[in-house]
Amino acid sequence: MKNFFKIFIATFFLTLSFSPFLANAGEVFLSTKNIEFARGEDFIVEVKLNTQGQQINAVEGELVFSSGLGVKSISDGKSVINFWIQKPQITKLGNVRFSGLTPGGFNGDNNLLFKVTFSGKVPGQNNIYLNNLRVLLNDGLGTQANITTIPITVLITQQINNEILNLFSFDKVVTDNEPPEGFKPMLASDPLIYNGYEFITFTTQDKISGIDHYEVREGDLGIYVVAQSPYPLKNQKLDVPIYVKAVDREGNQRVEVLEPKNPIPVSKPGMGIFAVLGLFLLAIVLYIKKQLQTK
Amino acid sequence: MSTKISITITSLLILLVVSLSIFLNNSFVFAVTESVSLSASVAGCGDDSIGVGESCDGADLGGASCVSQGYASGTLTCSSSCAFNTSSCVSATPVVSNSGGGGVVMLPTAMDVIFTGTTVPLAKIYILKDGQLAATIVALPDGKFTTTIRGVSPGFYNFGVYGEDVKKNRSTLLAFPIYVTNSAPTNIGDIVIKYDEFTVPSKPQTSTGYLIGDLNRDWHVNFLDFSIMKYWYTKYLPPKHIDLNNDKKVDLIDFSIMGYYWTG
Repeated sequence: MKNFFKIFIATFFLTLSFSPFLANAGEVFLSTKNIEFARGEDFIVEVKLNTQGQQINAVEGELVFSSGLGVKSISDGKSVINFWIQKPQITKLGNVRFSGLTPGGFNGDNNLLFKVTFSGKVPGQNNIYLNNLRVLLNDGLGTQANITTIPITVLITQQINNEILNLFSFDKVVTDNEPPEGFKPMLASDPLIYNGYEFITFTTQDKISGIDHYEVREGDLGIYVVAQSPYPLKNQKLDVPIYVKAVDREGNQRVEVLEPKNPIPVSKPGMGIFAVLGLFLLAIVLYIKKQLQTK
Repeated sequence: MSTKISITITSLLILLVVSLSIFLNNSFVFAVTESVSLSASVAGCGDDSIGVGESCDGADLGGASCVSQGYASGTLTCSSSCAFNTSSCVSATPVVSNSGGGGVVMLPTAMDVIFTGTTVPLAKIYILKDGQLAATIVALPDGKFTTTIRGVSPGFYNFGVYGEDVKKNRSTLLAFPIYVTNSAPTNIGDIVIKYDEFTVPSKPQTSTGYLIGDLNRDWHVNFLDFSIMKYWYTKYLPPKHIDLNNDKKVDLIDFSIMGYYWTG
C-alpha cells in the first residue's frame, strides 16, 4: 500500500511536469543580483514577466515582503507597462499594489514590470512574493493567462553595511539627467465623470528613472498642486492657461501648457477713454495758461 | 508769449492723443493694404484626410506632433502641400547636468525609428508609440509603406502598428517591443499586414452603435477612454457601456478588453 502511494505521487508529479498546460505557462519572477545582503544595504528587486509566447496586455497584483525589509523607492522606468491603472505603490505595510495596461499587448521572456529598492532592516530570512496576481491575454475577452510565480528569499546578515560594502554593491545608482518625454495634455468633459465638468488627462514616460509624479497649475498666478490623470479643473471657465508638470524620480521636470479654450479677450480702450484723457489734458493746459496770464 | 506756449502745448496734446490712439487702437492707420492670395493644391491634398504621399492634410496630422518630429514642444501644423510645418515647433533645450564639476551641458540624444512594410493597397497605417498615436500613412498602390518617427529618446518602447482598409475594416494591433539605442536609427522592417487580417470593423460594433471601448463616443479608443474607465475603476455601479464585460464592475478585465480594441 505504501509503495502504491509512492508510485501514485511520483506519477502524479511526473505527469504534471510534462503537462503541456504547465509547459506553456508564463511566469512572473523576481530578479535580484544577490540573495545575501548586509544590514542597511540597499538592493533592487525587479518584478519581471516571461510570457512564454502568450500575448499579454494587462497585469495586476501585490508584491508582498517581510517586515525585515524596508522600501526605499519604487521605479517604473523601462517598464513594459504603458498606462498604470494603479501605479506601483505601498498600500499597506509590506505590500506594494500595482495594476497596468499595455494596449496591443507584449510578448517575451524578460519584460520588466517595475523595480523596488529595498533596504535590509532586520537580520534574518526575508520572503518576497507575489499575491492576488492577474495576468490577462490580449484577446478581446480578458482571458486569464497561464501564469506561475516564484517567490524569493533574501538573507540579511548581521554585518552592518559600510562604505566598503557599498563599493562592491551590485546595484548601480541610476543617473538620469534627462527630463520626462514631451506630452500633450488633453482637455475633455464627459457626462460620465465629474458630473460633466471639464477635466484634463495627461501621461508621459521617463525611460530612465521613471515618472515620480505630476503637478498641475491653473493660470499664471496659480500654484502647482500634485495631481493625477484625470484631473477635474477648478477653473471651469477655461479662460486661463493650464500648466502640467511631469517630474521624474531624479527630479528632472518637463512642463507642458494647455492654452485657454476661452481666453479673456484683450479689451481695446474705446474712444471714451480718449475723450476723458483729452479733457484732463485740456484742463491742465487751461490751468497753465491761467497761471501764465496771472504772471 | 503765453499764446505761443498754449499753441505748443495744444499741439503736443494732439500729438499725444494721436500717438496713444495709434498705439492702443490702431484707429489712425491710414494705409490701405490689399492682398492677393494665390493657392496651389496637390491632387488629393486639402480634403482633410491623409492620402497617398501626404504626411498630413489640413487638421488631420495623423497623430503626429512636434515631439514626434524631434522637437521638444510647440504646435505642429500642416502646409498647403500636405507636408508638416514645423516652424512653430520648439527645439529641445539643453539639459544641464547636476552631477557637479561646474555644470556639464548635455544634449539629449534622440534617434529615428523607421517603419517599413507591406499591406493591402491604399490601406491607412497607424503607428502607435507606447499606446499613443505617433504617425499615420497611407500605403502606396502596390501596398508598400514607410514612415519615420523622429526624435525618439533611447529606451524601451512598445510600438504598435495596425491598418485600416478602404472598407474601414481594421487589422488587430501588432506589437513591436523594441529597445531604441542612441547609436543608430532603429528599423522595424518587413511588417506584413495581410488582406485577411483586416477583420475588426471600424464601424459600430456594439448594440449602441459605437466602437467597443470608445467610452466618450469620439470614434477612437485611446488614453481619454482609459482615463474615463480609470475614474470608474473599482467604483460601484458603473454606467453600462463602461462595464465592457457586463459583470457590474470595472476591473482589469474591462481594461484588457479596451486594450485589445485600442486605436490610439
